[in-house]
This record gives sequence, C-alpha cells and structure tokens, in this order.
Amino acid sequence: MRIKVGNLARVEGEGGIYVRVKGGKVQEVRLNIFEPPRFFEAFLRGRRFDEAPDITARICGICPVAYQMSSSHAMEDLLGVKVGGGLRTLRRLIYCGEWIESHALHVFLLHAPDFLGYQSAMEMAGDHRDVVEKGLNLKRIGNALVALVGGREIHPVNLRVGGFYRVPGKEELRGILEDLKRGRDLAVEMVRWASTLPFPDLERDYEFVALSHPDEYPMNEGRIVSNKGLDIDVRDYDDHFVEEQVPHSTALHSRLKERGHYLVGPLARFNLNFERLRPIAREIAREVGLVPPCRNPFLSIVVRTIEILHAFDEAVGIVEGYEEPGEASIEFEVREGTGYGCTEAPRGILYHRYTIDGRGIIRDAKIVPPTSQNQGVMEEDLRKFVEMNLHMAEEELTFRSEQTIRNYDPCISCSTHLLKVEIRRD
Amino acid sequence: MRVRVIGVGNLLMGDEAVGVRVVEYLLEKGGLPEGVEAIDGGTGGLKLFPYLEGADGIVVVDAFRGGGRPGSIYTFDISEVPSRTAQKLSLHEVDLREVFSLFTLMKGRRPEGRIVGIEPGRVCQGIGLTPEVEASIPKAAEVVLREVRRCMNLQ
Repeated sequence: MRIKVGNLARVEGEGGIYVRVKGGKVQEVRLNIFEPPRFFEAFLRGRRFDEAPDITARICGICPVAYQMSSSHAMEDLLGVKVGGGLRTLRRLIYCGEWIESHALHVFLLHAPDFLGYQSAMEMAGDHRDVVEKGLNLKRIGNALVALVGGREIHPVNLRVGGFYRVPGKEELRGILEDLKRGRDLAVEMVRWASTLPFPDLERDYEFVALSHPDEYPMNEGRIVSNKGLDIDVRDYDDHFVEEQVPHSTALHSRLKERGHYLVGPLARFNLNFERLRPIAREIAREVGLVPPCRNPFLSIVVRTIEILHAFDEAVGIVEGYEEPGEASIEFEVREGTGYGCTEAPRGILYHRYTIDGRGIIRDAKIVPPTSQNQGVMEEDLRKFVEMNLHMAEEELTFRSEQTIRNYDPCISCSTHLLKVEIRRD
Repeated sequence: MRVRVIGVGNLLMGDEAVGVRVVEYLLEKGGLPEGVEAIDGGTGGLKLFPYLEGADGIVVVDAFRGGGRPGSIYTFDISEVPSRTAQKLSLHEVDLREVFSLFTLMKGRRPEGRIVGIEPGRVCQGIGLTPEVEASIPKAAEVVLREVRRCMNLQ
C-alpha cells in the first residue's frame, strides 16, 4: 500500500507526503516540502544590514513579525545594541498579535476540520459556522494588534533594527483594550472547546527544544533549552545543531549533533515553560487537564488555544500598563561582525545569523526556520502513526496521515500553489 | 460605496511581485478616485479576508499565467474564478481562491469585483521584475483605474 498526498516533484509550492507499506511494515516515509528561506540566504548577501528585517519578512505571509524579530535581534547582537524597557515590551505586544493571528488560523481554519471529521474548513463551516466565526473573530483582533504596533497587518513596516520607526501613543493603544479583553474571554471558551475534541493516540518521546527565560513565557529572548539537557546561549546554536540535505526534499533537516531529531513549537514551549504562562492560561490548562509533560502531537491544537489565551492576557497587561517610550529606537553605529538571533515564531524557534562588513553590507546569512527543525519528527510521527493504524481503511489512513502533518502546519512556499491529492494502491 | 485595490504577490519571487509593484506605482503616481484605498497584500493569504469584508467592491492585481507574452494584461470578474475548498497540508498553501470561497460561505454572497492579471516572465527566487513585466506597470495601473471606475459605476 502506498499513501501519497501531493506531488513529490521539486516544484515550488508543492508539498507532499509519501508512505510505503509492505508486509505490514512501513518501508519508507517521505515528507517533501519546498522550503524557501534557504534560497533567500543567498540574495541577502550584498544587501544592507538594515534591509534584512523587511526582506526576510516577505519570506512568510503568516509570520512576518517572527522574521523581523529574529533578524533585528541578530543585528542588534552584532552591533551591541540592547533594546529594553518600553520598546522591548512593544515588541512582545506585536508578537502576541502574530501568535494570535497565526494560531487562530491554524486551529480553526486548518486543524479543527480534521478533528470534527470534515475535509476542509469550508465544509466544516456548513455545520459549525460558529467555530469558524469565532476563529475569524480571534484572528481579526490579532490582525488589529499587529496593525496598531506594526503599521499594517500584512507585512508590517514599523519594525527596525534598534526598535521601531514610530511608537503608538497611550490613547491609541487603549483603543484596542476592550477588543483584547473580549478576545481573552473568547480564548477561554476556545481552550475548553478544543479540549473536548477526539484526539488520536500517539505518544512520542520527543526532545522538546524552545527558548527559556527566567521571567516570562519565551518570545524574543532566552537560552535555548531542552528536556534532555540542552541549555545553551543563542550564540552557540551552530555548535549544537546541524542541518543535512536529504535526497527527497529541498528542505534541509536539522538535528541536534548529540541526539538527533527534536521538536520545536507550541508543544515544546508549553512543556518547557509551563510555569511561566500567565496565571489564567495555566489555570485553564489545568482545568481541562492539560499539564506537562504532553507528548501527543495531536494535543498541540489545545496548546495553541492556551497560547492564544496567554497572548491575549499578556497583551491586555501590556496595554493597561503602557507608557509611551521616549524614543522610538536606540541609536547605534555600524561595525563589522557576526550576530545571532533566535525568537519564538508561532511554529517554533527561528534562528538567524548574519555577518556584516564595516560598511554594513551583509556578507553571510543563515536562516533556520521552525519547519526544517521539525522535519525529522514530522516524518517519525508519520511512520509511528501509520504503523499503529495499519488496520484503518486506506482513505481514513490517508486523511489521518495528513492530519499528522497538519499538527505542524509546515511552512511551505508562500507563493503560487498547486496541490494535487493522489492515492495509489499497489 | 467602498472600493479597494489589493496587489498581491511575493516580492522575493521575481515577477510574482508585479501585483504589489502596480499598487506601489499607483500610490506614488496618484490618480485613485477619492476614498479608494490601494493595499500591498503581499502573501497575506487569509489575512486578506478583512480587506474583502470591509469593501463593496475590490480590484485584485496579481501575476497570472494566461499563456500570453510576459507583460500581457488580462481582466476578468471574480465570479469567473473557480472556488477552491479542498483541505491543504498547510495554511501556507492558501491562496486568493480560498479567500474568495471563505468569503462566499461566511457572507452568503460572492465578493464583488475584478481581477487584473499580468503575465509573468520569470517566477523564481530573486528580487526584481524582468524588463517586459516592469514595462507593463504603467499600462496595468491604467487598467486598474479603469476597473475601479467600472466597479464604482456598477454599484
């Protein structure tokens, strides 16, 4: 039996999964993802250092803020700039907006139909219109927050190395407070709803990797830690992680030199930073019975709703306590060197490294997105899941295999798309 | 009566960026009727949904493979775009067709408006348009303005 979804050709924008089963054993598992960031490293070379946030933000339409944050932090590391106080807080605020938007889309428009037994969000909306409507409402508030701090929703333009071009006034931010509180209430409801979904069985002994910060749930800063002993500075990333080309995919696969594949994203953040979630998020998580360690990747849909709740609550706190910073950005002088940045994109840690010369021109760039880090575990999840469920009818197994990948919402090319679905039996 | 122009495409994928470039040109040159907003929609995918919601009519500018020479300009109605509702492996595969379909489903009516397509030459990683496509921008902008007026008169 073969499970085949999508086209495995190396065509941009086409993702595919392929599983070959023979004699009751899974012989081969391949996940093919066209992953654009690798190609973009090359044309960052020769660009000015301060163009990196806006160029890299165009790599992904879903998480542009993450690209702006990781590149800005890397440049600031290189230039010896420390963005603190109110500017740092505003960066967290816009990141809250991106987490809300991205998670809401993932949970309600991509993932929920899998659990409720529909082929797509469009089909689901016929019977569960309220779920789609609530998801869109959460997303709208996230959008508005990104627009307020970032200048606009799509590819925000207000972020820069050293801070912002302009900071919002106190009254301006206050304008969104009621929506944020409404979003928080809705998020509580959505955590409870998500926890009642039927979850396929799959427990895996992952190595979870996420940022960790002593005082806060990680977004922009922290050490890179794992549940299996990793605890390193962002600058030491390349000493511990390697990327390998695999023949069946244009995406590179990351692994830890010491131990192999690892998982990044909401499940990793949740398991490694549970105590630093906002109290309301922790409380509701406990209420629905979700506490670390959580090793079922299908439960990531609940973890996403918990992170949506956290992000709303944190955003409310930031807006309530906001005082307009005196300056919109920190001054600095250009100097040559290498800088490292790693922030928590909605899908997991996003690592950037840049080398610039004395004139501020980028000489080398490295970008490791969450999807290439999760490639290994995605394939292993798929292998394990298919092995455990060979009794399923082919159609069901194909659908569930796709669901296994949708746990991650892998970053494929944000460009022209064609996806064919094909199932073949030998 | 609110008409919005939305240019879409990825600025890092060669001629795929042309829709965004046309919007930039329009914003720089001026000439949009009063109250008409022009938006760089980038690769916003479902993030474009609120822009559709808040408009009575939209004009979408995008790269479109119609089989002509690079820089050829096509216009058609949004109602001519087939719906696309199949499940995806990733949200990153969502395009305008889903946005239109979702709109129709949630609002009980199709989005009203026109599409201005420009035939791309080279679509691959890189910043910048090919000369033929670059040269088509002023003409495409004129066509967009014509379609905007058409949307406004129809309402």
